[in-house]
Amino acid sequence: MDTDNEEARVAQIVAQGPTGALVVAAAAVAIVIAIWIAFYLFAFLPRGPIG
Amino acid sequence: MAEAISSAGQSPGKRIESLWARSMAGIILAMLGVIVFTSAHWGLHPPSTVETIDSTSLHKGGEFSEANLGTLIAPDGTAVVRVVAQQFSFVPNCLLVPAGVPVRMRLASADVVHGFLVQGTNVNAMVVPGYVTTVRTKFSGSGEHLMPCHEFCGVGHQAMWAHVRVVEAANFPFDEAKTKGVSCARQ
Repeated sequence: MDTDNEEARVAQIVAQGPTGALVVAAAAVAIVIAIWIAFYLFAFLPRGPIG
Repeated sequence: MAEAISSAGQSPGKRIESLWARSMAGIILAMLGVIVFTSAHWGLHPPSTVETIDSTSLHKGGEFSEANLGTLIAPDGTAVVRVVAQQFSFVPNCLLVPAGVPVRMRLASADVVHGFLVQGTNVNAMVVPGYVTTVRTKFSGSGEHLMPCHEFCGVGHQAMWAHVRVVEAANFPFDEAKTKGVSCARQ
């Protein structure tokens, strides 16, 4: 009985989709892009022209 | 869960994967766009020329003979800096360049693959035996930059470095540099 309830609750949570995982993935991607842009703007461009 | 079909007709798993693929493709295209813009608009790009030279006879004359090493002012006003990279030193080991003037660095290796970078700038290239490495840049302010060899070239690699001394144009010996390579290497 308890396990039935628990399984029903788990099924309900899972049915809502992996939003938590998406938030973690999006945060990780955002951090990487922010660091890329920071290096580009604050390290690469200020270091002068090259050709 | 992946098998459950939503009312929209596509399973949640497929929707999320599609969103992920589109996001990643968009990010990669954006980064490529920034790189292309940097090259096309700013004119910043890795130097790309193929010029060969006989590395075994650099000392016998030609462009990299001793009187030409260091900084020479070309007729168009460009400061041409010629350096020989060898195990385990750059010759000359102190490069004198004027600030605010277009600089063209030309390096040749006398033996193995070397590399160099000028600290604090984007100058960073390899020096491969058999080829001349050309890097064009402009140093904005006066100061001294370290220029280490950054490609393992043997047991003395860690001790192989030069200095690039950028001086204000008023303090640079332009007249002397029109006829003979100048440098700040101790004679």
